[in-house]
Amino acid sequence: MPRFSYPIPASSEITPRSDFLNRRQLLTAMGAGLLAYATPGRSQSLPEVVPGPFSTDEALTSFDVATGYCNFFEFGPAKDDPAQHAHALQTDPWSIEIDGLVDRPGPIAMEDLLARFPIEERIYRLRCVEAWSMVIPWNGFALADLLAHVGVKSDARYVRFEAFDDTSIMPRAAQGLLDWPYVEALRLDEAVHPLTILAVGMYGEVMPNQNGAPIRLVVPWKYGFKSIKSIKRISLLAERPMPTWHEKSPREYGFYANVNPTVRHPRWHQATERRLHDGNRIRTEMFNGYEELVADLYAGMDLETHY
Amino acid sequence: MQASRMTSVIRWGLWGACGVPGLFLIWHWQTGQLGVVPHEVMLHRTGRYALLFLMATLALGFIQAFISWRPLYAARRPLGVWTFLYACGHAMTWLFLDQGGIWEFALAEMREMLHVKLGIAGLLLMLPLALTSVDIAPRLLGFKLWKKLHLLVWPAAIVVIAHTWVVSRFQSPLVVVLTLVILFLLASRLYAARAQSKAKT
Repeated sequence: MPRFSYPIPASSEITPRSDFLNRRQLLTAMGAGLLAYATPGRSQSLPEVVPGPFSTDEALTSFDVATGYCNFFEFGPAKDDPAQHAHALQTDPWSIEIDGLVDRPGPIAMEDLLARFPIEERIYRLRCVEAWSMVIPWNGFALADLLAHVGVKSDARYVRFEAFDDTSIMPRAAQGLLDWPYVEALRLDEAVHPLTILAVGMYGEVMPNQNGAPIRLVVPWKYGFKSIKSIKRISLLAERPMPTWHEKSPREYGFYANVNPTVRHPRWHQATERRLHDGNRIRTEMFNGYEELVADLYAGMDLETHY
Repeated sequence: MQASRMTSVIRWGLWGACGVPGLFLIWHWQTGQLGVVPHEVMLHRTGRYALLFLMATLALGFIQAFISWRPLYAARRPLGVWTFLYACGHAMTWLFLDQGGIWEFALAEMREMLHVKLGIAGLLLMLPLALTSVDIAPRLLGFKLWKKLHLLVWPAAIVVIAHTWVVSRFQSPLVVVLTLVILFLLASRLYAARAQSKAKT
């Protein structure tokens, strides 16, 4: 397996030289992309996507598998339920309510987010708690940039995320599964880590509904359920919030939920995982292979207790 | 129709019919009709078939207590043996498709995961039943011992339903119902055995 190394991209990688020389054209293209995004019945295109840091060079999972095999329990418990039912989610218009310990609370519209933050491609491994994994090219921007934009007050310690809350569009089978709306949370230092992104697309396309349109979290060193989909509210808090799965079964789903091959889940051994695109079973890496980047966040913590 | 001819219709009809879901599964698998992660569908379906055939086998015993129609007796063996075959298919799917045939990984799961231990226990409990399902077995063992041996189907059923509980994330109403049915069948079997032993003394 290719070993992950800390990427220090050449400046030509950060901004392609041609784009740098043609900023005006780039801006026009971004504007056009935005317009396409904001138009109902939009064509499936994103604003210009530039290569971002931290990408792996492992083989990508196919778009069909990544969009056909999803855990999005709001739309049902089966893996193909989201692909069948998530079209009911109305993603345009969409805004995220920012509240809690921030300097500038209030709603931010999707258009504003897309206009403000350049969209990067981040090719990350995705490791589900169910011991399967994918490699997905996300398109998004660092959560830290949004948090810097809204201004985090000094007493904030945690970030709480809330998904859309509309049981009327959920299939009946999904309505009683969990306590809706879905809630996830990160410690503030995890949230502002450069690996943590808000994704608005994947594979260069606007985020498909079943993958958490129009905007979702991606935290690649944690089990997939931490990467909450279809975010409607982001709150900065002093106290640790209660995430949905953690509340349902704290023994099975920890608050941290860091990928850890040595800590067992009652149903999933976790030492190994199956790459869904080739069906190979491979060893699971500590922090999903992002150990060098994130281990410092947990220095001195017993990860068997704080799983 | 003669009872003996009816017996062979039931016996051979069931031998064939019970294999149909498995053949469909293999056909769907080989023609790419099992979705984006086919081996998972294989794993779930083989497990479900094994569980349902086990339930059918147990239920048949209960029905026979009320309907003493001799040809019905012929249904038990195909149902029981197919239960074992689907359970084997389930285990093989797990070992060769889910675990990728990598023994090191599979052994680690066998050592540490409750649902794997329960699954193996269920399979091992059913193994002697399957092996003694040939015609000469009751004569070789003696009918009494053979009958006693086949009481292993009850611990097997309990282990199998426990395995099902461990692997289900949400409490599925179906699993609850199946558990209650197994407990009911077990209770009725124990009651019948007690009544029988009382009648003897």
